[in-house]
Parts: sequence; C-alpha cells; structure tokens
Amino acid sequence: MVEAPLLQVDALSRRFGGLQAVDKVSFAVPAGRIVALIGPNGAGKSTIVNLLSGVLKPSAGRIVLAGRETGGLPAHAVARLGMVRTFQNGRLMPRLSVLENVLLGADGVCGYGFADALLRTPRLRRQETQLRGQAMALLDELGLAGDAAREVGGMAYGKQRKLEIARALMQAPSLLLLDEPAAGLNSAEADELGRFVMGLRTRGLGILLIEHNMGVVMRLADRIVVVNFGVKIAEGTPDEVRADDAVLEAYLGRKAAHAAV
Amino acid sequence: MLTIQLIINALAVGSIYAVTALSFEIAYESTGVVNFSTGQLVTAGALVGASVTAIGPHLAPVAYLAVIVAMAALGLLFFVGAYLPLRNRPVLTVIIGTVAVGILVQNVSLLIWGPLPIAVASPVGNATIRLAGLVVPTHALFVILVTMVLILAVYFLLYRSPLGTQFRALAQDPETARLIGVPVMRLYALTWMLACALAGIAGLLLAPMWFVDVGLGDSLALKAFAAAIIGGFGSIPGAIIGGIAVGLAEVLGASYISSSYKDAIVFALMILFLLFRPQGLFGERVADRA
Amino acid sequence: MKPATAIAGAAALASLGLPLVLPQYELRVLILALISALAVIGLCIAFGWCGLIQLGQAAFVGVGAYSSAILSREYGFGFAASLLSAGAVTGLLAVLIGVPLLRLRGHYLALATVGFNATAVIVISNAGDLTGGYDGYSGIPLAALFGIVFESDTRFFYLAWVILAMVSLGVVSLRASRFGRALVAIRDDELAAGTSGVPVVRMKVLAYGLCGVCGGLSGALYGHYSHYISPGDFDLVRSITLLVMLIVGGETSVLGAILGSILLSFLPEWLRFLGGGYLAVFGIGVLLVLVLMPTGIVGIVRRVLQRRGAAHG
Repeated sequence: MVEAPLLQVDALSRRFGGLQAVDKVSFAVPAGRIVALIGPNGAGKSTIVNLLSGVLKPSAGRIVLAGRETGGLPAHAVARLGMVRTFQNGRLMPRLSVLENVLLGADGVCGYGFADALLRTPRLRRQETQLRGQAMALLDELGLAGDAAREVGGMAYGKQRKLEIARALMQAPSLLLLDEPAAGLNSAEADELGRFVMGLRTRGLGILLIEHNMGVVMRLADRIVVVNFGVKIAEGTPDEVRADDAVLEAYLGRKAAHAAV
Repeated sequence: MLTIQLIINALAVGSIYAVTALSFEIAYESTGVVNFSTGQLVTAGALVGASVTAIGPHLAPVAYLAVIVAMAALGLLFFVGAYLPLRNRPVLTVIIGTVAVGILVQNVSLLIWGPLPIAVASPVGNATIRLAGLVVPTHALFVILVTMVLILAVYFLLYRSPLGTQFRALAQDPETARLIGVPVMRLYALTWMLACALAGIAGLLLAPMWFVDVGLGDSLALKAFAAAIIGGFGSIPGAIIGGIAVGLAEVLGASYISSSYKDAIVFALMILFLLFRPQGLFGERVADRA
Repeated sequence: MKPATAIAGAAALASLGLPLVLPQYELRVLILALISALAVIGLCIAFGWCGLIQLGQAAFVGVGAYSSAILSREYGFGFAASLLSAGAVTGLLAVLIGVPLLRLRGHYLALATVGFNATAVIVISNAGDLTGGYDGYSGIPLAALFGIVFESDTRFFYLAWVILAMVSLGVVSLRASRFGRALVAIRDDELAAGTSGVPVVRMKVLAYGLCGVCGGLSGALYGHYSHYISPGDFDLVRSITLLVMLIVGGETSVLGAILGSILLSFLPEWLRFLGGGYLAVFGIGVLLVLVLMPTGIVGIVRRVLQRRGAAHG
C-alpha cells in the first residue's frame, strides 16, 4: 500500500460570480518533496494558494492535509494544522520588530494563556525565552541575526523575503506554500534561496512552490503541476513537463527556448 | 387622518435629514471622508440665516442665498485647513480631524451668537393650511418643496452636467480621474463647498421648526449618519430615501412605540442595518472600503 | 533597562509626592486624569494596537459607573467587589456587542460605535427606575479597602495611582506576549496575521473586551470618587475626548495614554484665561496635533531619545 501524500488536493474549484477561476484541480505534495505550481499570469495559481491557505473558501473539492480536511477552515486554523504560506509581495508587520515578526509565527505553538501574559508568570518567561532562542536560531540561519532588534521598515527587499520565510518556519509547518519567493531577488539571492529551500526539503518538509523564475523551478522541483485558465493541463517531472507539447503551446511558448536550458 | 398628518410632519423632518445626509454623502463619495462636523455645519448655517432674518422678516428668502455663500466660503476653509493636510492619513485621524473642525465651528459660533436660543421666521410664515380636515403647517410643505428642488439641482449637477461626469470619475477612482485630466483638487474644493452649503440649508430649513442654538445640529447629524447607513453608504439616492425613512421611523415610533426611546429606535435600526444589510437599501457592497 | 522606561518609572515614583505639593483643586484634576487614563489604556489596546475604531468608550465608562454605583448602593457590594464587577460586566458587554459589531471595519465600525454610544446614553437617561434617569445617580458610597476609607483627595489619589499602576503593568506585559504581538499584527495586516496562525476574530473580540474592562474600571472609580453620575458624563463628546487623549499621548503606548490623559485634563485649566474661546482654541490644537505630531508626545520623545542614542553610539 502506498502511503498517503502529505497534501492531497482533489477536484478543487472556485467560482467568482460567473468566472470559474479554479476548475477541478487535483494534485498531491508528498513530505520531503518540492512540487512547483506554474502557469501563465491569471492562470489561477494565486487563487489556489489562497484556497489552500484558508484565505478563500473553495466552492467545491477537497483539501486534505495529513489525513485532515482543511478546506473551508479559517486561515489561522489551516496554519496551525501545519500548512503555512508566504506572500508574493511579502506581507510583514511594520510595527513589530524583526524578532517579533518571527515570534508572531509562534502564536499557535505558545502554550501560555492570557493570565500568564497579564502577570508575566515564570511559565511565560520560560516559554518566551525558549521561543526567542528558536527565533534567533532561525534568523541566524537566514543571515538576519544582526537585524533582530530593528524595525522591518527600510530593510532590504531580499532580507524581507527571508524574514517572511523565517516567520513561516517559526510555525513549525509540515507543508510550506511559497508564493513566488524569488520575485524581485537578484540571481545570487535567488540561488541562495534555492539552496535554503533544498535544505528544508531534506528536513522532510513538503513544499509547494509557485514561481515565475523557470530556472529556479526546473532546478528545485521534483514534480511540476501546470495550470492554465484554472484547469490543470499537465503534471510530471521537470523533464516530462519540458517535453509536454500542451505545456509548450499553452504556457511556455516562445519563452521555452530561453528557460528550458 | 391623524396618521396622514403625522406622515406629512415625518416627511418634513425626514427631508431635513435627507438634505443633511446628502451633504455627508457627497463629501464621502468624492473625498472618502466621513464628516463628523456635519452637525455643527448645520448649526452654523441656521445661525447665519437667523442673523439675516433678524434684520427683517421680509429678508427670509435672502437668508437662503446668504447661507449658501457663507457656508461655501466655510467649505473652502475646511478644504484648505483640514482636508488638505489630513487627506492621506488613517481613517480615525481623519474622523478626529473632522470632529476637531466641528468643535471649532461650534465654539466660534458660540462666541459670535452666544448661548441663547434664537427664534427664526420661515419665508412662508408660521401659518397652517386646512386641507380636507388636516392641519398642516405651511413651513412643513415649504421644507418638502425646497428639498425636492435641492434634490433636483444636485441630480442635474451630478448626472446631467459635464462637472457631474468629472465628479463621478473622481468618486470612482481618483488616480484614473487625475490621469484623464480631471482637475482633482479643484473638484475636492468644490465638494467641500457644496457639502457645507447643503448642511447650512438643512439648518436654515430646520430653524423655524425648532429654536436655534449652538447645539441644534448635534443630534441632527447622528440622524443623518443613520439615514446614510439605512439608505446605503455611498449612494446619493440612498441618502434621500434613508433620510425620509429615519423621519418616518422617528415620528411613527414616537407615536406608536415610545417617545422617549424614539432616537434609540433610529440608532437600533442603524446598527441592525450595519449588521445585516451593510450595503443599506441602495448602497455600495461593503468590500474593504475602509 | 531602556532609558525611556527608566525615566517613566522615576517620574511615576516621583508623582507619589504630588499630593504633598499640589493645591487641592489641581489634585482633584489629577485624580480625574488618572481615572480617565484607565479608559484611555483600553482604547490603546483596542485602537492603538488592534486598529478597532472605538467611538463608544464613554458608554463603556458609563456602564461601569452605573453598574458599580447600583451594586454598591442598592446591593451593598463593598468597593473591591463593585469595582471588579463593574470591570467584568462591562467587559462581558463589550464581548457581546463585539461579536457582531467587529465584523465591520473602518467608517462602518466608527458609525456603529457612535450609534452604540448614543443608544446607551438614551437608555441610561430613560431607565429612571434603575439609573435615576436624567437626574443622575447620587449617593454612591465612599471607596474603602482593608479598613481604609478613601475619603480625602490625598487618599483617593493613592488609590487611583495604585489601580492605574497595576493595570498599566498588566497591559505592558500583555504587549510583550503573544497577545500583544497578535493584536499589533492585526492592525498592520489582518490577512497575513491570520495566515501566521493568529485567530483574528477571537483576538479582536479580546481586544474589545479588554477595552470594555478598562472602561468599566474607570467608570466605577469615577463614581466612587465623585459620588454622583449622570448620563451627560458619558456622551459622545466624552468618547471623543478620550480618543483625543490617546492620540495626543501616542496611540500605541500605555505611557502615552497616561500622559495624554493628564495633559488633556489640565489643558482647560491652563487655558482658562481664554474664557469662552477655550474650546475653539482646543479644536485648532487638536487639528495641529493631528497634522504635526501624528505619533503623539511619546513618539516625539522616542525619536529624540533615538537620535541622542545614535549620536552617543
């Protein structure tokens, strides 16, 4: 018997009024694998990420994470079950410090209650010290330790993208939805990010990668799911997808010549 | 019979709410500002009118012109002194800013006119007409008539004039409006002049029905907010219907439910609308327009 | 310890000597300022941190004042019991109305809270059997704790000081916890806060509930201090004054809430020479603060300290 994948998406659909933005899309993300979701602008990728992360509710279909149906749950519940996302445009909290932005991700794993917070009990201090240690370790790993105390505003764009990943990892996810993590990064930064994501994969995280940078996708992905007009048009290994006529026609088109090297 | 008489009174009061709500709504549509000084602007209009009519009762019609001019000037001051410096600030900052304007207007009014209530004559006198057994104050009919004229004027201004096209482009999307050559700043200025003038006329219409003092518009403005919500925030026809609806709810509620809770009935209605039909009777869908 | 914290702590301790030097009238104004500060701290949580526009805080203060007054005069509750009950009752009411109202945002929430405040005043004014109606409610007993009766202004000052200090310390430590982070995050970016695991709706209701508790405590203390309350003490104008206190002090900081309350309570006294023109000047002053110092007193002080810190480091 084959073990069920970490994330199983079945016939996921979403309508906006008369527009069928996502139409019966199915795919799976196993633990320890990177699955890339690609498609031209407006293909429905962002809608799929919003549906998976609980920002939008599906009109039909199932989303099952580690045996639990998450479709229709509010965003925070989805995140607390282990499916955590980042945003295309890096949504950080300008009024929290860099360290606090990371600690925000620990909201679901903090064990202390309201009374602890009001009275600053030893229980809270112990846990906060431990969380701070974890958060600092994450920042260190991403090369942001020196920025911990500063505000987010004015931080270099590349650093902001990394900080968002740190916040996501602080939530101890089993599945990471990375929405265009390389957007706006220069090639050195994109390479560094790629290595980091590969590191997460070896730690056993499942990763769904939405990305425009074909170089990054081809290098990182174990499998690629291609959508167009809200419908899945192909799925396979990078080599299979590269050779798929439907994909070349519908999506890669002329770009294939540049990207598929 | 009594009911019809009540309804005519309700229509007169409702008309005044509608004109106030119209002032509030025009400012909101064009500039996105919820004007919490509307009530004090209403008062200022009533007081200016009171001073003109005090010279001689025959000047009552002139008072309307004087109020329009004076309030438009005040609107220009509002635009320069409060709107321009605060327009890109967060919602609450802008709200408190308009509250500050209200405090300023109210207390300058207090310095000029003093705290004592002033009686104001109506241009049509304080007679009553007997119609098929009904006793109707002529001023109530006058209020309804003037309101209809104002609504028509605003309608032609917004929907049948070149200026109206620009105005609606601005309300839809200020950035695009700027790009297609709408003189955005001039329209904002004009908006505030129009909003203040309408508030002033509402005050002058109200003046012969109540005594005028510096607190005249305070509760009126709350009713106008309720009218705008019930009619539909962001809808000009909604403001008018909402105003009439609030007038009816209040007068009928006072006669049939409880006169001491008549205002509470209106606010409860407003909160119910906010919760269950936030787009009001006619308004925009409540997306994230904050 | 950060220099700002040290200065604030020293100032708070030094303020304990104020009853010895302040004339009686000024002491009374200061006590009322400390009482207001409790309600303003509530606004700091709901609006300053979480971004909930609350134009009905005076209604919460009123609910607290009337509950504590009625419980202590009619039902013989002691001071501590009536104070805590007032906080609890008001907090509960805030949660109950928060659940439906907090679905609204921005202008809509602002208008709904205005409607709530207006309705509350009408209900208090007309529920004469319970509240004394327009005539107000008098004969609220003196505050007493552990056998000490707080009948003099000096004693009441220390009572208000201790209660305010306890609430402030609690709220400051709340800010340094996951609750504080979550509430601030909601104002910054509600959507991203949710996907970061913050239960947004629950947290908003919590913030509003805490805002109610602080308002209720403030109201209860006000009643026990002035012994007489009336509906006019809790109208929309009062709500706006409380918000202005927060904005002038600095909307995200407890210290700002306290400083703003003190400043705005004394301002009418300092500007008394203006006579009837005072409120007009006040209106202009508020506009100037909004335009020129949007981060309030605390924001400006913080910037000065940072600049000096940068110069020294």
